[in-house]
Amino acid sequence: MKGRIGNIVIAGTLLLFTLAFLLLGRFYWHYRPTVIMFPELAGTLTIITAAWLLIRSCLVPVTVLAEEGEPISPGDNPRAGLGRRLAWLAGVFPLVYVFGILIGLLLFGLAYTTYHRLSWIQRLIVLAVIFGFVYVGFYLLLGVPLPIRPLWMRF
Amino acid sequence: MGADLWQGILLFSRLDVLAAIAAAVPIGLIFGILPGLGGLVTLAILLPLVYGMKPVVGLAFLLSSYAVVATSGSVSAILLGIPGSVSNSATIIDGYVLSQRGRAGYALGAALASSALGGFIGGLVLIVLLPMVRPVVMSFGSPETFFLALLGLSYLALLGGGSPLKGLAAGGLGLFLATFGYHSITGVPRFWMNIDYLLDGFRLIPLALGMFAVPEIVELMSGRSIAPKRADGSLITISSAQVWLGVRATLARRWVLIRSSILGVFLGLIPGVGSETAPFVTYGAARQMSKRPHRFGKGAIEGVIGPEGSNNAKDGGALVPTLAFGVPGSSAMVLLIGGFLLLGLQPGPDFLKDHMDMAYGLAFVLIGANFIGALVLILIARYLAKVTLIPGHLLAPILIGLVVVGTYATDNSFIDVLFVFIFGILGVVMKVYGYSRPALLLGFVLAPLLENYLFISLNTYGKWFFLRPIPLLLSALILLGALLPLYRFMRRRLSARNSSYSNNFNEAAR
Repeated sequence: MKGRIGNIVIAGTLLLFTLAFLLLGRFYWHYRPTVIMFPELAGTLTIITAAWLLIRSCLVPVTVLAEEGEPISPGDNPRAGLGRRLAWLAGVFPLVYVFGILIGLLLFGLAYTTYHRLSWIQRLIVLAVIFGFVYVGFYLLLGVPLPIRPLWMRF
Repeated sequence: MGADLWQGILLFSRLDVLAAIAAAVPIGLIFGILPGLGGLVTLAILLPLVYGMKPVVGLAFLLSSYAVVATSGSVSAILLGIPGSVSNSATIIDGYVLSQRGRAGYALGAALASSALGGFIGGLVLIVLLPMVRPVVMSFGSPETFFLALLGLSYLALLGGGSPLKGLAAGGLGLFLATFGYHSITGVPRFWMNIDYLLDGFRLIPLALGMFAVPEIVELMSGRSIAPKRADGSLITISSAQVWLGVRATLARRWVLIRSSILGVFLGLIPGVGSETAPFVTYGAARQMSKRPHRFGKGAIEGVIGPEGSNNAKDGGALVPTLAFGVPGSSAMVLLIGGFLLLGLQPGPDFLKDHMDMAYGLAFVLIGANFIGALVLILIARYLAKVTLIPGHLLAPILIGLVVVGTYATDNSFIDVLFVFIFGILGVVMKVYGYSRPALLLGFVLAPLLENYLFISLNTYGKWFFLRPIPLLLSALILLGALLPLYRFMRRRLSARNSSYSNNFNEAAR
């Protein structure tokens, strides 16, 4: 979904998102004018610019639209494709939620470095650095109350 | 004034005070480098430690640790594209681009020199303003503050990079997202959809880290290092000479630094305005005043000097209302006032009357801590900059860990961590399609100011609230800011047309 279609979808989503919330606020949640005045001002700015962008995305040459964006670099191998990178990111939150911050992040680091076939030395370095700043740095030295234990062990 | 000034120097050059500064600066530097732990968290964690200290020692300890947070925050912003604190977000725009080109040392040198000199200017203004501060701060009511926020908003299009329209759209979205949660005046929760987390609205730290850190981590997960190898495959070397070149670049662009620092002090002076907005506003102003605005966003060193000068200078400004009226100039200053109270001091008009020497001394602490912090980092910058050469697959899991822990540490909330990734996806989409992420953040931080001061101004002064000298002056500045780029654009177009006309004429004559 690159180029013109992508630009149209993004501008359209922005327009619909803002418009939907403003209409819900006014007619479903029945916010008083004092409460909804500023969101309406900000929303109107967003809606006008999004509508303008929508029209512009249909008219301007694709090369101009492409120049405005910053493409994400392609991976150095098929295992580092954009879809897989986003899938790895999506795995972080469930891991730290279920296993606690320390174990969750260590598991993520180990799985990620193993998947990319890094050497054992490199894997150990990554795990040691994560352990160092999460447990020693934040938890022990700075005294930040991190949920070190897995969530299921805290009940 | 002279006697108090001298007493201030003597008071804060005592051995125990210097030892407190020496202990506090490294702590502040570490807090600054770690994402999510800004000045507020630093002061919150260090505050209990000053209990029982002598007042001058305790204040020097707190202020010097706080003063250097923004300095070291620029290190992670430039090297990793992750803001150490929110006030370093604007530094990423050009600083990180320079790192990606293998010029991390140059950007670091410029950022650290700007931080030190910005802190110096902030401290100097504090010394000058303290005896005559009342009329300056008192002249800013709600209409004036509203127009000041509006001036910040006028830079949205300038932050738009390739397309000003996309900057406006992103800024509008930032303004709109900031309206979720409790309305601060009526207490009515807006757009919360029965999700308890949204009662307090979206939070700034998850938004800032999601917008800036996650897209750069996605880049690193491609396997590349931040600074790519040369065409022949050899690694780029980062030398001390590169760092000192950055320092010299700051001195050569002293007017950008002075302008940005003074603007930073001024924004810091107005309670509630400074800390997050100052770097973005000064970035916009630096771009507006530049003869080569097209280079901003593509690695212009002025884009590093401006925000870094202002985010250290603003602390001098924020200390003015804090010391003179006991009114915190920023959220972190609330905790500093807590430190004063803990040490048996009450900032306010009486404090200036009884302890003017201590107030001047604090200005010297601000200056000294900024210089020491920047010097320490300049000396090790060459080694720090080598982070940009580490392969992406090694760096990515470590940075994800830092982002998760930094976000959680801010509010002890797992939902904040979830929102980092949600905003991260938005950040990736915005980056790919050229929507300005700094503009969204600027809109988000300015929205509460605009809404509250608009409401108060309308209710207190009526619909003609803008017919006052300062709002009219600020309106003129906003108009000038909008018309100046338009005038330059028209002039460039006209000169391009003239040169093409004369070329055609010459060719026809031949």
